[in-house]
Amino acid sequence: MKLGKYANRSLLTVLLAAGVATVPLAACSGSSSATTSKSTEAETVAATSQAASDSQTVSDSNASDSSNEPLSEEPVTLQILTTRWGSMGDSFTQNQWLKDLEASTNVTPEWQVQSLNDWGEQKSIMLASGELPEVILGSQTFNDSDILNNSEMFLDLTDLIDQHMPNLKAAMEETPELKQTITFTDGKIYSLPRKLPSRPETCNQPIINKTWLDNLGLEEPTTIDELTTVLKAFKEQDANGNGDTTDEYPISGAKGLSMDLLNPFGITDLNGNHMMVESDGSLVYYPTAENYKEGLKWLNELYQEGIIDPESFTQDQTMLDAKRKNESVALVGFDYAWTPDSLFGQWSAEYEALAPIIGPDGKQYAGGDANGVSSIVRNEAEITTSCQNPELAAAWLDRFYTGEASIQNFWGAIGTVITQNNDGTYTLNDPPEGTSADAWYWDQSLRDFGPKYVSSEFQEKIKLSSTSGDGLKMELSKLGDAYITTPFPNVIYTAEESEQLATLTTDIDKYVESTRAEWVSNGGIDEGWDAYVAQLKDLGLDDMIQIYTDAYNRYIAQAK
Amino acid sequence: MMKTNPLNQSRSHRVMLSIRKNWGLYLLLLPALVLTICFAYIPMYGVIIAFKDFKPAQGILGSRWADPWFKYFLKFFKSYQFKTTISNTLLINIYSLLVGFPLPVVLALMINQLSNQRFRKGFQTITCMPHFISTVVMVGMIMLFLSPGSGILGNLYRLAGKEAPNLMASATAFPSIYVWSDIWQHVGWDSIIYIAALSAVDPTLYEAATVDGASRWQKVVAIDLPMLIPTMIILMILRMGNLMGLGFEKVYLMQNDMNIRASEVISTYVYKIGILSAQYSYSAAINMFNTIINFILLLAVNQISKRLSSTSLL
Repeated sequence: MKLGKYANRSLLTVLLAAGVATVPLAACSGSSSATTSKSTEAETVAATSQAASDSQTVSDSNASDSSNEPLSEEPVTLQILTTRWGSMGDSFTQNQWLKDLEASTNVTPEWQVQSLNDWGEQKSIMLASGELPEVILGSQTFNDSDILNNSEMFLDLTDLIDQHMPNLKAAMEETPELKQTITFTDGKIYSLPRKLPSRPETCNQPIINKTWLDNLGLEEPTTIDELTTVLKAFKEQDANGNGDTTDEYPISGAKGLSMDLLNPFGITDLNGNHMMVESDGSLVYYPTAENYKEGLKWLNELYQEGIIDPESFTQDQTMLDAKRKNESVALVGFDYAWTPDSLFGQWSAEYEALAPIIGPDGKQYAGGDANGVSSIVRNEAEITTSCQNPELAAAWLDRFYTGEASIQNFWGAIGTVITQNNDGTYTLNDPPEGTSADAWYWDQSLRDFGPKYVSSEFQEKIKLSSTSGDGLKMELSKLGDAYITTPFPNVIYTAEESEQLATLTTDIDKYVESTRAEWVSNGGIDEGWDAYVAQLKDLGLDDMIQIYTDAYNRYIAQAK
Repeated sequence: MMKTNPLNQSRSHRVMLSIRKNWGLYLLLLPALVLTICFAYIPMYGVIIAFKDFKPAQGILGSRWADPWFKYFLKFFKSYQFKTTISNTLLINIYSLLVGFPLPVVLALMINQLSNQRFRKGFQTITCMPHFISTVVMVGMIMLFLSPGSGILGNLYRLAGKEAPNLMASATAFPSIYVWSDIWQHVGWDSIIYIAALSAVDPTLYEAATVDGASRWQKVVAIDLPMLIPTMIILMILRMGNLMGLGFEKVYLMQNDMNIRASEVISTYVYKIGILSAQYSYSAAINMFNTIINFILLLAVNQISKRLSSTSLL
């Protein structure tokens, strides 16, 4: 049925292309609007009636705007730059939804896919050269300060959204946070938002090797003291049962330790900027807080006991992965992760998630966001000044903002990753043998990157299995949901603030990290604390906190 | 209209004449000259961004001048990293110069003493090989070798029944690891030029020395070494040109939170602040300061060598 529609559509396109030369202009624009509404029908057959009627009005309003017909009659190309983690490659461009989009819009994307491994420097070189591709996708591609420092290179999208992006406009009316998130301090909108479907509230969970617990006849730890005892047993005894008592690494890390280990002390850091919002709404820079000091003492104690792998601060990610996925037997006992199957390869089945560990104060804390972890985020798409036809680019990007488009860009196309059921619901298929669900989704779709919007109404139709992938994560998240701390929000800085922050954080973060490594491995926390705080102040800590506070206050004021 | 200096005229005349006579050689020089101008001199105007508030969208010429013009230099002088980065850079470089400069000479003298041609060729090839390992792989190897858990070092210590130290985590060990792994990798390669210089020594000198009853050692000290000195001085001056421009990749890859106090050098700091944090003007200022110091050092060494041995580059 779908094929038939497309054949029908391409026939029309051919007729149109042939007609362009002979038919007068007015007639041409008339027939092209007919094409548009036909193709929109084809796309929205399965979508909700609400979305369908929306799209219908879209094409109508576009048709009336004859000077700016958004979807091209002639095939055109659009340069699109996006980034992927590590060596994921560009397999996502084969996603059937993207192929269908290309056929229905007549817009052929010229993908430029960069690995985030070396994007940090590639990006600076690209920005300094002043030549950007037409459209940028993905929030990791350009961050706030890239956009602010180079705002001349990005188009203000306010009017484009208003005139050419009906789906996004409707989404912004339904979810006002979207607009709040994407409006920069100068009042302009340089980038487009996303709202992801089916997001867990808790970020990383404590993950422990259950087989080791069973081997040693231990209970699952619930408090920090029990955890310490368990980890000590992991270290001292032959937890993995291979006859060697020295090859267990209860905790390991790569070029540092996960800050999630300090969760029991009330320290969570969702955005990685060392800032926390206390329950009374005040801001805290936690590396100078008392609970951070206590947490480091605990880590130092573990290090002294040999519980923390002494190579945690020196080995790189590859060496850590080699330990996690060791061939003969599992070597790592405890970690914080999204799901148990995301880190440990073939040993995944040995691990299970725990509820947040009860800290010394008798409370539990979990890093996360009550609105869903990184659910609403800006900078998912930008249109640059080098774009030949911004209206077309905007209309093209708007196609991403329907529920059905969003789920297909988040998991994979309907037919491969998603099954559409007769009752109008959507379920996810199981990943192929030997692939983790998450890796499969990344292979099949844009996943976290790129514009998306799933309304709460559409969310109801998504049925996830609770045994793997995102469904499992939603399920695990429940362990921590009750203990989520308020994260420091995704605030926007002014251009001056972001320039100052760049220098301040380069120096301060490095000092905090190297002192932390020193203290965890060699101790001396009490003796060194005052000098450390004084040094941080010398490095401009107060200025930095002031910038964070100002930006936070602006954010809160805007929300009211 | 202008009073021309007769001496000058004759000099330029002579130059023209020599060019006309040897035009083929000058033609060979041309591509190198063009490349140098295009890729070394023309881009040099870009250093003015060190005195400007550079914004890519406004371009190098269009950006505003910094206020005051030395704003970014001042920022670096006042920075917490100023002392650390400069002293680390100098320490590692001087260490590497002191150890890394004589060793290729020693190796060359040793290889020169080998009489078995096949063994000599084999030895030379083996010492040269590590030079072709890329920096990334080399650092990976160093980290694996030194890993106290599973590396060679860890296993050696375990054989001796001791706990291996985690050398990568030690700030005091960092310069030594850096310098000695560099020597291991490059000593063979660096000795090639000396071996070539030694093979050009007139054999009659050795024959005369043999007749005079000189021992092997005496021949090395009295003939080989003096013959190598001009080459050594030229190489020394070339090396001084890179004194402050410490190889960035290797230091950056070997860095971690535990050794950062000894491993943050100017080039890695410039990378972090300039490329990763997009502070182009600031990093240009730091690098320019670095280059000026280096240039002064280079001129000084050149001058000293001119005085002492009448060998110089400039």
